[in-house]
Amino acid sequence: MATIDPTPHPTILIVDDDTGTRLLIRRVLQMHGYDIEEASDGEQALALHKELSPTLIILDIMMPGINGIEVCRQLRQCDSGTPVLMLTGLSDDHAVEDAFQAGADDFITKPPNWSILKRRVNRLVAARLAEKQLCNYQQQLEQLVEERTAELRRANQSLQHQIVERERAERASELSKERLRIVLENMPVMLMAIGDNGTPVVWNRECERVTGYSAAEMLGKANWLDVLYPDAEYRTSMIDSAHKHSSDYRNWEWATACKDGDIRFIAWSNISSSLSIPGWSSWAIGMDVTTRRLIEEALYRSEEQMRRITDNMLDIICQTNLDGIIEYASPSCYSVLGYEPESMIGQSIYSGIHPEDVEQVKVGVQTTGRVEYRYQHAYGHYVWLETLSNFLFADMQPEGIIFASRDITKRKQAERELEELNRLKTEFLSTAAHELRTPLTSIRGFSEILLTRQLDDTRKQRYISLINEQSTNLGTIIDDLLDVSRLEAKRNLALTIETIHLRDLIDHVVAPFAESSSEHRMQIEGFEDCPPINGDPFRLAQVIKNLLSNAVKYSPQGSLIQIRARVFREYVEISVQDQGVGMTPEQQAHLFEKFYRADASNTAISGTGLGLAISKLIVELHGGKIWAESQYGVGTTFYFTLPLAAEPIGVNIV
Amino acid sequence: MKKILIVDDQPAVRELVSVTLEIGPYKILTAENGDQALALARAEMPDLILLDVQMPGGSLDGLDVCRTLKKDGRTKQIYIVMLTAKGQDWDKQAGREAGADDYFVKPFSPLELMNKVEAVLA
Repeated sequence: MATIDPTPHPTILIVDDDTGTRLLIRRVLQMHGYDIEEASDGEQALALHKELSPTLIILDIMMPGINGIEVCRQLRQCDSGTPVLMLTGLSDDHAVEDAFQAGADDFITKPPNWSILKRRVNRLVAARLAEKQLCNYQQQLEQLVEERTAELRRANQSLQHQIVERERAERASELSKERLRIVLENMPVMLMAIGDNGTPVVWNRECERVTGYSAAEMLGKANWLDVLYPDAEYRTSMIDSAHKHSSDYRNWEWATACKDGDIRFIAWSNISSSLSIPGWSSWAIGMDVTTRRLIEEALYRSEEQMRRITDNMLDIICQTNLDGIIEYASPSCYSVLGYEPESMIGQSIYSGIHPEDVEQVKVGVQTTGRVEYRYQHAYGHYVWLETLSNFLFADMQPEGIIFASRDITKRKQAERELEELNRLKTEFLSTAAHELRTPLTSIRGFSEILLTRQLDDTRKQRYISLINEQSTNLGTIIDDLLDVSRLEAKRNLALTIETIHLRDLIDHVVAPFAESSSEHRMQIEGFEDCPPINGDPFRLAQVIKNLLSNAVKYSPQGSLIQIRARVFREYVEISVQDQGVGMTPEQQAHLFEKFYRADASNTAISGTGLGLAISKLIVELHGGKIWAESQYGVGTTFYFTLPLAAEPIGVNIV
Repeated sequence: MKKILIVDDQPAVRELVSVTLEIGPYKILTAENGDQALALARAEMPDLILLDVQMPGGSLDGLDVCRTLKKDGRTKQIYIVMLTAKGQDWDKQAGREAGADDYFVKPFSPLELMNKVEAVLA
């Protein structure tokens, strides 16, 4: 394709083997502003043409080598559009024919007419230039068209693209809407919305599931509130509060009546005020919290029960960290120790323990977990506690200690009393054993003497008599011991209660004494007006006998023994007064003790030292008191009281 | 003639022991309480004292008497036999701790007592 030639001076290639011709033609054409190039043969011409792309070629036919016809043919073969003006001989018609056939554009005979030559050159050049110009325009047009087409294509592509995008977006949007719709419809959260007409327009599947009412039943239903909240009062109060609470609310629980008759608690959240949805005058989401509420209530009841137990139990429960700093103390620590539980928190549990016991407690906590120790009460005194302790574990690591403590003060006291009682019992037994052995020693000893020795009759008689006495004595001691033991174990005492007229009793008891102790004078006073009392006549007689026998024993012959009764409002006081040796303060102090004998040396024959102890037991079992007043060297009076018409204590009525 | 001091608050016991031992070559002394016992012991310096453990009612019991005599340089050589109740182990123990040389259990066989005394004073 020929290139667009922008040069203002067209180039003409003259091809002639004749230099002169060339020169002439050159001169002529140069005057008209043409650039001239020359070639002397066909090959040179082809080469120059290839190199220069001249606007016109003037071509001589007759040339050595390739002739002009051939050059023209070749030019045309390689698609050159360069105009060719053939130079022909004068008479060469065939050449002209051939030239045209070979593709020449025009010819001129040699020698050329210069004006015709000029004219034909001008014409051909102008045509060529115009052709080139046309070509140019065409190309430009084609280029424009191409560009425009490309542009259009691009625009079309872009449009296509946009369409595809929009479709995709629409599909995505549709999908998203669909998803949302599915979620809202099926999510495990209730969603309902009220339309502008005040009736439900949204009632999702969860609403259906929880309430049992289907969407079909609820949508558009004007009295939907009545259906869900049939109790008018409840409904009214609910609506009122909802209206008052004009802004958003969350997790407001309402009791909803379900289709199957159940009441379920729904926690509603309504943020319609801040997020209104067109078409919905209000909307809300709800959760069925019935189960949660049941669990909460059960938990609350359980906690209440726990609290009632810990509030009321007598044991103190205390939780501390590993160092003993109190983190929790149960309410009973107030009733047991006088401290408010709150005040204990943060204190060391060891700070209240008696200093002497602290170490032992610390050791006990680490070892057996069971300790007894003294703890200081808020009032200052000490209380005995028995504690069971246990380590609290979290993930195999000890992280605290639990102390469960009981007030054992009473038990400790009982233990001490028991110890004391045991001690007394042992003492008693030891003394009793001694008492029994004393007559036994005589019995055994003297009987052996009698068996192994030769004795005179007086002595034999004496010893036999001694044995006899001591046997009796032994019997008495045993009886007294049994009495004491029976009377002291009050539970087993069989006091036979009767209504007693003291006057008769006294007469009955005193008579034998008066007979046997004729050296003493007995005087009875004050029993005539005695009201009857309740008591065991045998035992009371025992007491009176005991007092009388003491009086007789310790007062001289011929002296007076006075037995008196004085009646008071609630009791009768009986006294036995002698004029005997009396007692020292020392003797009075030990008077009612078991085995105490005021005059030790005198009791070998009579008395076990138990008589007064037994009398005291009997009188106290009847609810009375016994005591003595004495002046050494002057005399002694024994008093005892008996309640009037009252039940003696510690008695099983047989 | 060996002197034997019998100390017991019970007259019958004193008599029994006296009767038991009178057939032997002994001079029998008796005391009925701790004070008398001490006085007699110091005064008479008997060869043997038969001493009841208890003797309630006095200011001194048998153990006190024993201790006192044994602490006293003059009397500590006197052989003391405590008369104790049978089966009361702590009597024997207490007697030993008080310094008694021997013990004899009540009720006793006079024959055995006789043998005991003979053995001691032999």
